[in-house]
Amino acid sequence: MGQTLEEQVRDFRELGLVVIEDAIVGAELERLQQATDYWLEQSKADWLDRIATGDACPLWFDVPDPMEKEEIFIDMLDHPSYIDLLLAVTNEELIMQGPFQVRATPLWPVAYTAWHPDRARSDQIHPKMQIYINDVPEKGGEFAFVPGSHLWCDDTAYRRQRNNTMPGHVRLSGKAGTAILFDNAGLHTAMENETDTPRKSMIIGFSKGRHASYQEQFAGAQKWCRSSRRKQILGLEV
Amino acid sequence: MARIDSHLHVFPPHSEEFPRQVTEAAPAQRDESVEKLLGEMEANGIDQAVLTQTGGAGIEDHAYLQYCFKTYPGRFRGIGLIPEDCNDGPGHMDRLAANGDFIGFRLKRLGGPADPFAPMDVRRFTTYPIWQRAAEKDYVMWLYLRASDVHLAGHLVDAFPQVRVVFNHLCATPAKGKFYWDEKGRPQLESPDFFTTMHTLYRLCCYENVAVHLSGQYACSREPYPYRDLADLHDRLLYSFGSKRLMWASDAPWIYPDPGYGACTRIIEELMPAIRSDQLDDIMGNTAKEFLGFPDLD
Repeated sequence: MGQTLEEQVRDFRELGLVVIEDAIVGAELERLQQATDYWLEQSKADWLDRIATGDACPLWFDVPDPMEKEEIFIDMLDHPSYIDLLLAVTNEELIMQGPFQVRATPLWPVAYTAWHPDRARSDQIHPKMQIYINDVPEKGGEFAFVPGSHLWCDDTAYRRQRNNTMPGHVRLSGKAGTAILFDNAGLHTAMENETDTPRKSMIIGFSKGRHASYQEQFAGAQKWCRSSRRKQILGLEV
Repeated sequence: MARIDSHLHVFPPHSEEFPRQVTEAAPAQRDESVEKLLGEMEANGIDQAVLTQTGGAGIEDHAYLQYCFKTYPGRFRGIGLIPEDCNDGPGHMDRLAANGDFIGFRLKRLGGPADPFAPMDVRRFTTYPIWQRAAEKDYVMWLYLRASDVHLAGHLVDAFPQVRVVFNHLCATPAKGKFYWDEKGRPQLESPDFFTTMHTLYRLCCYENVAVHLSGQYACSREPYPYRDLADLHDRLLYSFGSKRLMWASDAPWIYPDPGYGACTRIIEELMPAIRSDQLDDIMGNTAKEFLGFPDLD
C-alpha cells in the first residue's frame, strides 16, 4: 500500500525524497515510452552532428523541445499521481522552473554525472521529479540520493569520488513509470550503469513561487494546456 | 625539484636531413629549433621537456626529434605520431620507441562508433592494437581528442587500466568547424565546451592511470594572458585529479609571440594563487618526472 499524502509531505521535508511507484502505468506508460523512442530516433542524426561540433554532450541525449513534441510529455507536468504532493510541498504555489527533459543516457564505464546538489541550501523549495520511462534495475544507472542532505549540504561542488562510495546514499532502482520527487538542494546523482540497457527518464524542475510574467519559452505547450492550473505552472497564465 | 615542460613542439626548416610536412602554420623555412627552446628553458629555469612530434607521422618525419634526443641526452622524452592509414601501428610504435626516447604516442581519433548508443566493443576500435601494444610495452597514450571521439575514451581507459593516459590541454576537445589559426599563428578553439568536458573526460579522474595537461590556455580563453576566465577550471582540475596527476606545459612554439615562454612558466601561479608550494612543485615538474619517467639530471 502506498503512502498517504501526509506521509509523503513529511518524507519530502525530512528526507528530501519521495518515491511514487506505479505513478504512470498501462496505456499511458506505453504512450510515454513510444513517444520517447520515436523522438529520440527522429532527433538522433542532429544530436550526433551537435556532438561533433561540440554543442552536445555524448553522455546524455535529450529530446529537443519536448513540450512541443507530444502531449504525453506535458501530461507528466501535473500528473494525478503526484500533483497533490507537488502542490502540498509548495503550498499551492507550484511553478515549473528548471529542466524539462526527456533523456536517454548511453552506457559508459563511469556514471555521467557526479554527486552534487543543484543549488546552495536555502529556504526556497525546489522539488525535482525524475520519472523512469524504462525499467531501471540496480546498477542500471539508477537515480541515487543522500536522504536528509538537503538540510545540511552547503557545498555545491561536484564530488570527485566514485559514486558508489558516498556515505549514506540510497539507490532508487524502479520499474518503468516510477516517479521520484526530491529536493534538489540534496546530494543526488545517477549511478553507474553496468547493464546493457541505457536509462530513459524524464526530469522536471519545479519551484515554489509565481511567474512574474508570461513565459514565452513555454508557448509551444499552449495547445496542450487544457487547465488553468497547467497554464499557471508554466507561466502561460499569470 | 625537477621543472619539466610536459608538452611542446620543435621543428627545423624542411630539409632532406629533417623532412617534415609543410603547412601554413609551419612553412618550409620556419625554424623552431631545439636550441631556441633550450635558450627559453634556461632563461626560465626549466630543466627538461616532452617533445611532441608535429609535421608528419612517418618514421622519417621523426628524424629531428631523434636528433634532439641524441644531441641532448637526458633532457627530453618524446611523443610520436602514428599514421592514420598505418596497417601496422604496433610495429610503427616499436620502431620509433626502440631506443627508449619515445615514450608514448599521440592520438586524435580512437576509431570507434560515432553513436554513443552503439555497442561498444573496444576490440573492434581501429586503435585497439595500438592500445594493446601500449599495454604490453608501457607506452603512454597522449590524447588530444576530437569532440566526436570523447565518448570512446572512457571505454578504452576502462579496458586498459595499466596504460598511462595524458589528456592534453585541459582536456579540451577540438570540435568540427571550431578550430582555426589566429593572426599570431596560434591554434584556437572556438567556444570549447568545458561543461561537457566536466561530465565526460573529467569523470575519468577516478582512474589512477589518467593525468591531464595544464596547458593550451591561450587557445581556450576568451581573455588575454593570464586567462583568468579559466581559473575556476584549473581549480576544478586540481580538485578532481590532484596535483600528482596534473602537469604544466607550454605548448611552444605557438606561445612564443603571445604570451611568451616566460609568461607561460608563471601561468599556474597566476591562475591558482592559493595553490600550496608542494602542489605547485608537482604540477611544474614532479608529476611529469614520476608519471613519465624522466631521468635525474646531473
